[in-house]
Amino acid sequence: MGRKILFVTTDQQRYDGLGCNGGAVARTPVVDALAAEGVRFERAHPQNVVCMPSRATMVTGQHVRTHGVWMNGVPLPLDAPSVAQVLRDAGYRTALIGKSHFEPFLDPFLRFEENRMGRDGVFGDGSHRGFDHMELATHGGVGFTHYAQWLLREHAAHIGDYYPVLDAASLEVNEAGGGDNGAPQVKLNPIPRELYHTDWVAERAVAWLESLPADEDWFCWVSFPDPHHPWDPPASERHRVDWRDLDLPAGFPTSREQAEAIVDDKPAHWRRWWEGTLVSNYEAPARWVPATLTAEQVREVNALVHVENELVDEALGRILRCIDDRGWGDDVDVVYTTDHGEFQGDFGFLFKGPYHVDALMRLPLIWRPARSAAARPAPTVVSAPVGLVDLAPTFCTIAGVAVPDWMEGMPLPASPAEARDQDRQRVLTEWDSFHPTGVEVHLRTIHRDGHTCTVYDPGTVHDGTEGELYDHAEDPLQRVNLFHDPARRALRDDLVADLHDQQPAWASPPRRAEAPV
Amino acid sequence: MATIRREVFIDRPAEAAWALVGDPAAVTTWFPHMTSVVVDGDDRTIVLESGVPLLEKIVTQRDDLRRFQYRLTGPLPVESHLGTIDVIADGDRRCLVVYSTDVVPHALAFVLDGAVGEALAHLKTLLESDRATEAG
Repeated sequence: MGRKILFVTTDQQRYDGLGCNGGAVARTPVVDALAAEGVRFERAHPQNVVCMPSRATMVTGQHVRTHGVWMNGVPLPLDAPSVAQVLRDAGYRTALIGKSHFEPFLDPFLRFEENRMGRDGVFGDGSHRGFDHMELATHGGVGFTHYAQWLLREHAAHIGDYYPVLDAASLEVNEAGGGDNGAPQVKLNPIPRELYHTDWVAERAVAWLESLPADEDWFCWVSFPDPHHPWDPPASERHRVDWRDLDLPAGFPTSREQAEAIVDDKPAHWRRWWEGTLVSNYEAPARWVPATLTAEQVREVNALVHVENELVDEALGRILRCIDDRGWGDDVDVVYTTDHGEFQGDFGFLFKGPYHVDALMRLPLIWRPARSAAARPAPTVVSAPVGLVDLAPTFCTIAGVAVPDWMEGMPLPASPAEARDQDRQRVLTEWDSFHPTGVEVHLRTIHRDGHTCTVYDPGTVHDGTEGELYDHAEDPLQRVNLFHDPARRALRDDLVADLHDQQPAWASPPRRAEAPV
Repeated sequence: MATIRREVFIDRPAEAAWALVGDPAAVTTWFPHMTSVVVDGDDRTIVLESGVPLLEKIVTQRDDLRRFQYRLTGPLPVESHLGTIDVIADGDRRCLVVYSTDVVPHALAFVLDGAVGEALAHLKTLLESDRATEAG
């Protein structure tokens, strides 16, 4: 028997959402214990800050330019390489339970395999992306996912309990407000907790694990849809965090004047989104104007996120108990992360978009190696930059199989010393978006030496001269843009040159988006 | 209004492509993921494999221009839509099929664009394999 792998992802979770990363509200004892026993990464970045590109990076171990999923709505090709296939070829049983999002959700023609699997009640046989078993869910009760179909079949009365992520009339991200303060994507969700997608994902993961022979090696990707919007956890759980008790996040501007000064110090799309004159993507409600965001709305959204983070942590605990009960407790590597972050009030915004700041890029990443591993590392913290592109090679290494040439990352370092040995200096992130109205935005970002530097390719909002440079030690809130500071010119130019040197070339011409999400 | 366009060259005479594209009742033979079609005068009702119906109004069916136009009217949330398919001869043995879509809301543009792209690829395969069959 080898080491088994439990890969746990959340969706749109901030670094500071976990207790082990300094979060002081949500109680996350399960993941905190994993961090205390394993490796906690302080500077893990996604290679793209939206779901589909980021998840494509996780499963392929490739940068966006290589797998080609450059924005939400671009499907990952069916023949794209997959770490699950590598592990399956090595004898592992493989599963993905929860949110995959390798293919678009909005699919009235039912063109995409994962939607067809859900609609037809098919769970896979290893032929789709290397997973023996796929049991899929997303953020609500509508659609073709296995979860939505189960809810329709068994608990149809609860389908409408969820907040509708998309506005039915426009198919845009819904801006309708709810809760106590009218924040967008907030709803009092009457669904019983046991029917909520977080608990369903845990239940289905446990069921799959319990179905395996005791001597089987396995790779189980448990992918929770939360705490991504909509912010509608079961109403029965809202008592856990009262928004009235919450402080505002440090990154939330204290006045309109401060908010304007912050966005005016950045490239133009910041200001234009904030004041509601630019829609460049489908990652936030098109008709919602960030400048209208109130302190009370931020506190309520954050309270609901904390509740969702607690529910995820408890669901993970349930899965780990199952693993212990199966006698696998010492033989499992657990890797916990998310696909991208969320503003949650920073700079006066919610949601996400073409904004390469810590709110969206600094991710929770924890690796608890198997206790039975031959060379088990001591608990530690790694502050060197790593990326989600490194996950697939890590899984290969855990399984004892060679890292395929097509993977572009490196196995995660198990210690600061190993990070130095690997010469871990930088991590790259990029954004490209095209909106049907013709708006194009393109960002290329490097994080190195405690700085984040972003350059903009020409688009419809930028002429290619814009940029951002933040010194995280001096300016942890990334409010002071040093890109045009003469005193930082040499550093900036060095970072930009390094970025261009390290970026892989596009493997093929960009494919077209086939859905907004 | 979102405006999108897909096109494909097909190594078959324009008449062969138009025989399929210009026949509103033949759409299920070349446009994937459709299970049934009913044409009643200017009204066309298609049912997708997903179970979603498409209600359409035929606007133009011109053999002389080899142009077919239709409007999607529901139940997808369409504020306005016009689909235009032109079959243009490129000599006697090859043609260009151009499928243009103007649609509100924007979000549907990506969805329709992807489906149309797949449909044109399928149309090309279908017609060119017909040619191979005939040649064989």
